[in-house]
Amino acid sequence: MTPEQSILPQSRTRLIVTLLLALTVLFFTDLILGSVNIPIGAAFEILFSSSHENQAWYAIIHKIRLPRSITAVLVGGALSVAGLQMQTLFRNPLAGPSVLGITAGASLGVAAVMLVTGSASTAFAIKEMGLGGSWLIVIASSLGAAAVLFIILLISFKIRDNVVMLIVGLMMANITIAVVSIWQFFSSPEQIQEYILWTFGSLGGTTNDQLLVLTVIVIAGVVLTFLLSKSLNTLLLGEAYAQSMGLNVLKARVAIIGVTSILAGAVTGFCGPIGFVGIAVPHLVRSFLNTSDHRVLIPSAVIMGAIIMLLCDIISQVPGSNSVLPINAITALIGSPVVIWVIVKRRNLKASF
Amino acid sequence: MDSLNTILSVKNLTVGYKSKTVLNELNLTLSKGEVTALLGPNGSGKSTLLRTISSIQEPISGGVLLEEKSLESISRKELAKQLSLVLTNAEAPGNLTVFALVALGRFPYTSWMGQLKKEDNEIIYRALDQTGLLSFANRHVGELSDGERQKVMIARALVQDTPLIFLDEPTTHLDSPNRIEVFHLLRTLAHDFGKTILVTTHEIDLALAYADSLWLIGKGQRVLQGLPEDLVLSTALETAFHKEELVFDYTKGAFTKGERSSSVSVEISGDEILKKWTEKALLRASKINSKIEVVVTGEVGNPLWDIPSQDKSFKTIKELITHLLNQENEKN
Repeated sequence: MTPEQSILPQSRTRLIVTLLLALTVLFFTDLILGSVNIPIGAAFEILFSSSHENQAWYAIIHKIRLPRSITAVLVGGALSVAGLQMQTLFRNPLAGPSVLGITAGASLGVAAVMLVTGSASTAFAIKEMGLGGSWLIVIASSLGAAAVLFIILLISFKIRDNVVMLIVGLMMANITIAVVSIWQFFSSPEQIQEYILWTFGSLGGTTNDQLLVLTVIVIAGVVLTFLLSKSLNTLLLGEAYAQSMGLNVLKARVAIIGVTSILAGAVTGFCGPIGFVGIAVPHLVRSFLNTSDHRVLIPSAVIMGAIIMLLCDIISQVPGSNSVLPINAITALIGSPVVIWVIVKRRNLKASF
Repeated sequence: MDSLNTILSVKNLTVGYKSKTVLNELNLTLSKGEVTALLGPNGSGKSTLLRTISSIQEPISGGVLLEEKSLESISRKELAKQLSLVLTNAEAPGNLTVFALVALGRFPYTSWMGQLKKEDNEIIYRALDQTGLLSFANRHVGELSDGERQKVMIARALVQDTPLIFLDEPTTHLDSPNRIEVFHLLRTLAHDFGKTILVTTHEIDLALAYADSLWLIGKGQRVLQGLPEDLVLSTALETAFHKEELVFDYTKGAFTKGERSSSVSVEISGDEILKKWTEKALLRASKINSKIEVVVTGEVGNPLWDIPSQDKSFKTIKELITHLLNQENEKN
């Protein structure tokens, strides 16, 4: 009479294993491909046997490509999880860290550090400051992200309509961008240049110290989100139902927004505003796994986000050439068609909200 | 008013918003194992009252006692084990299976990750069985009809395992058979499984047919409580829904717009049901004045109309009316 209901039926497990395999393959592909051609065999030798035969290759893999690939995995995972939470909280398929102005808020924080405190705190200078400097950027961008999110949260108490909320979020992003551009207008060209380079987004700029900070924050953020999955599942039915089931909706909202702004803020601080991954990946995961259960979605979104980011990174390095394209442009190029696909496949979208 | 069976009582409750009082000084009770319908016209404050007594909204004054305990003193977690809700909006996240959605109702009982134990599984399957959704367990909610989805939400409330279930206009988006099915289900849950059910509705016919007791929102921000039949016979129901040109038909228990002609000139004899429907159609076709005799033979499913004086028979009422109208025209 009562067949077992598992959240991980066989087909789903198979899919997740496939995704993990894809992630591994892409991770190593990202290590191998680049402006300098390193054969697969040599690359593996350098990675796993600490051979120092070719000093240049060793340096490229360990100092440049490995941190870069790890950053890609962290950024993809963090942004996807942040986007997933936003979409559930606002019950809106188009919500995400970049659309709701969270990324813009983080940019404002970074702009405040880079443009206002004078030439001593250009991005280059901050990198030289090491760990302390990374925290400064992370805190500034997280505060910026949190500020925008809290304004949106306050407005969301008054407004229940999802579409209106989305427009409010877009307007908040516009206001923030406007403030930054006024700031830029009164800043010196060198400062602006640093800031503009930062807005292109980069996975390669993270030092080992920064990578450590980012890793700790992303892992903590993803674990916290996973702990929130029961609340997130309940919120799928809307706040009235969630409250009637005994969920403290206000607490849950604050927790979700807090975790999202730390995740999105940290990633934006280190790598620049990277768009679209946060919106696109949750949709991909939901339609691949055919569920809205966050206990499945959260880990899958981390894997899928990492896969997409690695893919974007491989493309941005234009295999076989010496140039590197800005990562922000590549995620938009790949992400936008995904968003269009989601909207066109309306049934899929309606089914989830 | 309070009897042994009272599970919830409303004491001197005034509900509404800061700027506007909606309902004033209410004293009402809910009895165990009964379906109570909160009946009132659109915009009369049904949802506001329901939200207030389910602790979503603050009362302006007065209070609600749940098993002798003040609602305010019950924590949100504790209340979730006493009272479950089913709301109007038919939308539900479609990307969940029926089982997964219904399982969300176990929220107050499961651990921090929402892991279901054997007992939880049994309760979920029992609720699916009671609502007739057992064969739907693995279907996605998005594939269901509105009526089925509302039943899923009722199953979810059942799984929350509360003595009280409040439903806010649960039949708004449903067609007639589904509406009846939902109300029938509510009655079964109350009478056979001892749930106490409060359901808001503006549908008089359903409330009269299925409710054990009515909370009727009347004039002057008052709510009357009583048996449906008593409220009909005291004309309270008619007063509450009164509108110009609408008459309450005390034989049918429904409002009708004043009929153009109140009697039929044609004399009809035969089976009671067939006679009733024939009369209804002839009433509409008011131009017929001839005093002719029509005999209905056969039964529902296979009726036949005869005019013995003219030795004619008809398979449908339309044919009969067309014939009668033609005769009228010829006379003129």
